[in-house]
Amino acid sequence: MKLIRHLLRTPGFLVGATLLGLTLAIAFLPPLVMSLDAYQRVGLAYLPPTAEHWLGTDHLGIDMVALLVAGLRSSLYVGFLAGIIATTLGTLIGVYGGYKGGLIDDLLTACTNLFLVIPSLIVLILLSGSLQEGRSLTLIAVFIGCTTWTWTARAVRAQASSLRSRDHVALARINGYGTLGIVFLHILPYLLSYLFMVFILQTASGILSESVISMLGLGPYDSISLGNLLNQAIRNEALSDGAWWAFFPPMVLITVIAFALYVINTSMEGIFNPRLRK
Amino acid sequence: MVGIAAVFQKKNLGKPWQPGAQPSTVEESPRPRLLIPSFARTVFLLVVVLGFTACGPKQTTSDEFPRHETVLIGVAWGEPTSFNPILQNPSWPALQNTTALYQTFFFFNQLTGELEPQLATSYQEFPDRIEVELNPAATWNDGKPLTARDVVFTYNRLFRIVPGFPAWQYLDSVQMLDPESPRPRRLSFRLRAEKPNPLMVLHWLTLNYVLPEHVWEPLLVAAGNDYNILSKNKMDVDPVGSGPYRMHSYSAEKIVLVRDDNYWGNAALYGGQRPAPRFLVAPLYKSNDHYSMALQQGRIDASNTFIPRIWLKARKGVRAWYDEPPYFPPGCRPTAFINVLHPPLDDVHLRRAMAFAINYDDIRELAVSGYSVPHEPGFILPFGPEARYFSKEDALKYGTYFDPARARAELKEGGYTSVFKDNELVELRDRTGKRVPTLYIQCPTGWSDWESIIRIMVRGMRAVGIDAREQFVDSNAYYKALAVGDFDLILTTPSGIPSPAEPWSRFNGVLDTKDWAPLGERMYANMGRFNRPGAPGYVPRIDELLAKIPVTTQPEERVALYRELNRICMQLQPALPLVYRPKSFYEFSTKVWTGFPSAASPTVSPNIPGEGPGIQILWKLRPADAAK
Repeated sequence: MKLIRHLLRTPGFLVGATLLGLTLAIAFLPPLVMSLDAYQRVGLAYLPPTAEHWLGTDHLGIDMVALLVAGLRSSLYVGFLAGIIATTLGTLIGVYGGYKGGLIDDLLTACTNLFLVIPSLIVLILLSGSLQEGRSLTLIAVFIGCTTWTWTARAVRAQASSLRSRDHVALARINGYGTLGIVFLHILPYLLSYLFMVFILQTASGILSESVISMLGLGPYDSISLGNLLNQAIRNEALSDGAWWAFFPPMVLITVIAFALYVINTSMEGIFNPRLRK
Repeated sequence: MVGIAAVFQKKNLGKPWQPGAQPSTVEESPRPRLLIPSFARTVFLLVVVLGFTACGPKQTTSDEFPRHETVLIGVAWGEPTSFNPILQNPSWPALQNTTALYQTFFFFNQLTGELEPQLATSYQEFPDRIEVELNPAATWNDGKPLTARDVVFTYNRLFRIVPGFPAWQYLDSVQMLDPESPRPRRLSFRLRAEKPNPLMVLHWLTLNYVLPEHVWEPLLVAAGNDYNILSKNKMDVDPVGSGPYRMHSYSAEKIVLVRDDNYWGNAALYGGQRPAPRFLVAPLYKSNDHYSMALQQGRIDASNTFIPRIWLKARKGVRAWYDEPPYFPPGCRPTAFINVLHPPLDDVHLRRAMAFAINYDDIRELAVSGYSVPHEPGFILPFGPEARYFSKEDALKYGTYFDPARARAELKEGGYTSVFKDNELVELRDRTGKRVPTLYIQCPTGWSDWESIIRIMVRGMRAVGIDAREQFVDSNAYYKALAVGDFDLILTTPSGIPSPAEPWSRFNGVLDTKDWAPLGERMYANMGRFNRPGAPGYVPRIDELLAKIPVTTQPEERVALYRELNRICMQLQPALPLVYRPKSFYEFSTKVWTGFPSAASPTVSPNIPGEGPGIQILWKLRPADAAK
């Protein structure tokens, strides 16, 4: 509770949380109050904003507001799923290796380092490019999660190995707790705040990765995401035709979500880490 | 994202998070100090950088191709691989329907439907042959005379070894009619007796190059008459042609041709004038939008790529053939071929349901930027020279217009049921209750107009309950899939090159069964494998009509035959004709050069320079500065 009170008094956190709340509202509120169909043609290509269609239409004459809402949902979905996968994988590998130490730790660290030096964006692009059929948002999220867990694993391992020599862990060991019991009951709880921040960063990075892949035209082309909207705007020459409403709003949304998540992370860091606490 | 992740990782590792946690073992090392003084360091770096620059590949300086002497065109795609004209798909300018380096007998003017002289001066049709007379002034770039002997060599020796050379489907042989003359120039193209088709022979006379015997005979002998060996020759070192330009250089970025000031046609065809630009350059970009941007910025002068909303580009000096819709003269029919060997696409109800489900107005207005006239069913163009074969009465009676209710009715009649959940299609089931696999509609990725067409098709089909999805693939994979039948539905343009054989060649492109090949082997017409002779449901009348139309001389009879064939196509829906499209796009910028033909002054057929008859434009261009 004290931590939350601290957080609520941090301007950075408030700004980040407000922005995040705003994007979530954009993603989930409009369908409740207005009818939005991201597949229905409402006019000609790249109609400028009007009172009826606040952000005009895209190259296929579809209402941009409907597309943005659908795109934002997809991007958030991919981001959160990728964040969950990367955090879970990284945490499990890091915490287990860090606690066990010895050969297992060496092996897991080597494995992590191996994955760390593979340029994950290039792997993602190659994977997406090689899959012609069956690309889906879920699959892209899984790819992103499976290529970005490494730094979580390294950071968590460092934390876990420092906790290993703590008295309460030694006490638990004496009391007969097994490895898993110690890891889950006596190490992970100490890392929770850190893991939460890792998760936020991984989510932001997932959203950005998806945008990059989709903007390059390697995303699932039968779904709508913010990156896909940018890709379609580029392909159909929205830039040169001055149709700013086709690329500017998705760009702003991506920036705002990523910014909000990073600001939240930084302000949490200031609260959770007493050395940084003012 | 990787970068961001890495930055945060380093940050996180460097700072302990938990109260009482051990400080990080990673210590920040002091910044190494360079001992070299800063000025010397700068000089050293400069020398290194300049050294690297000097070691790089030779850069093209702008002086090499002065802009006022160069016409740049958006006509070529992909890194040049080979300029060997006997290949099926060589790089520009050896590519078919390019007349800058190699030449054909005639230009086909798509506006008038006439053949215009190029290497030949005239032709005459006979029931069993077509006689052609060469221009007596024609010479090769190396100064040697171009005679009927070169033509006979090109066809009877060179094209004989090319596997599956398409002209041999209709052509028996080529003979000289004046062999004893010192410079023979009269030729007879003998039609194949079992498949007489003068239309297609004329078609090939506008497309097949004539190649010099004195260059190719030694190559042929050296290759032991083996196509596989001969086709490996890239023909990129000063190849000998008869056209107004010669090869200058090429790279992954551009292909450069240089004017041949001794071109024979300057005196014989153009009243002693020579083409205005000294260089004809084809820069190689990756996608339509790059060419569009280059045209708007004046970095290229003409392009045959798809540019959406051309009317918005007028303020940047970019123009098309017409100044108002449809902006380009429509001339062909982008079509979705249906693979009838992939069940249940062999079911006419499903095919017709698809045809009813497509919103053709959306395709015309959105996907192709209105560069089309409203859709009519069937394969005959309801305007221009083909309008006489079109019957509106048949179209209304048998044709498929956008009508979701009729699409659903066709599905019902075929015993299909569509399963929806929350207004989203889940699956389509056939009459046995089995799920119909998702039907993928394929086109090359990056072809933005086609991608949009497919998105509109998918939207319409899913709305009526047909489980269709987009499939955008690499262009090499696309061409292979198209030929070997590795698709459910695929976009292509049957008979995409302007031809005197239309609309027969368009029908033939969709229905031809003469060169049947099973899935996995290549077919170059009827890639949907429709109407296999002997198969259940085979309609022999289609083959009869295809054979009869080219040899029919009576205009009324020809109208009746075309009408019948179009009616069968509307009833059986072998493929899905989608929209009308220009044969090739024709956009130009007047920033650097003026004098491009347009609807207001149609001096040349609407093709950009470097494509078929468009080469003639180069004699009409003037530098824009001079016009001011």
